[in-house]
Amino acid sequence: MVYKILHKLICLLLIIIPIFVMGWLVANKLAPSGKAEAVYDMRRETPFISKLYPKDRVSEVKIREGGGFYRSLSAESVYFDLKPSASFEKVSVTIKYKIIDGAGLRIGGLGDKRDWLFDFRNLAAGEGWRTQTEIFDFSKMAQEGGKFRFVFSVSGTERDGAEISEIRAVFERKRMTLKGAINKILDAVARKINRLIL
Amino acid sequence: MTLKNFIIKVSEDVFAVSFIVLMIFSFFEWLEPGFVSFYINFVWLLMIPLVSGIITIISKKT
Repeated sequence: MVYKILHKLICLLLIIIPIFVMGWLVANKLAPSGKAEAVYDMRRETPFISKLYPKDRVSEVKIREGGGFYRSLSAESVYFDLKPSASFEKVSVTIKYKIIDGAGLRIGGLGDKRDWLFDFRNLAAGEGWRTQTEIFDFSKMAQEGGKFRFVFSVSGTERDGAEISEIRAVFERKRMTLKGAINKILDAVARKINRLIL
Repeated sequence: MTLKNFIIKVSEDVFAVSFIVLMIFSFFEWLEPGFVSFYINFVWLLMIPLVSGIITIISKKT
């Protein structure tokens, strides 16, 4: 008798859990709230923020005093890409950084790929670790296969001018209605079927 | 229902459901790359039907 009840309970869980997981995945993909967040702590990779590259301009991961990790930027331009999970209008990029004496640090979003023009923002200098948020409009940025390229530009020093501890990206757009969400799913399915047929 | 029957039934159900879920998730991953793999490790998804399948076979044989 106990086993029968237990078996029925497990069967119920086996139905509920996949439905819940599927709902969670759909919510992650569609971001109906209009916001999605991704954090790269310099150690664990995330699918939405690339590692800093090229490798030869970035140090190995180092442990920060008081917890956390960081990487040193050793040459002028170091890039990273943002790959939002869906289409968003803008992104708030929050950088946790440290500028080494006398150096300057800027962050820029690639606006024009042909002329290699970046929309640069200065990151304020100061003692110790600092945090600054800059907002970039995706409609004014160049898209490279669903990715948006950003650059850290270090000036005024030969080596290790800045250290980066965290990149946090909050992707934003208008809230999605239920009708909009259904249309988006149907559009994606139709596009995939069209691609298969043609 | 004995303990042995219970284990067999549960492992059969877990195998069936996890296999169907794996197929559905694989389809969605193919439809929209990253839909599942950005959030869930496919190796773990594959482990569930594999382990439950092995348990089913072993417990049926003994």
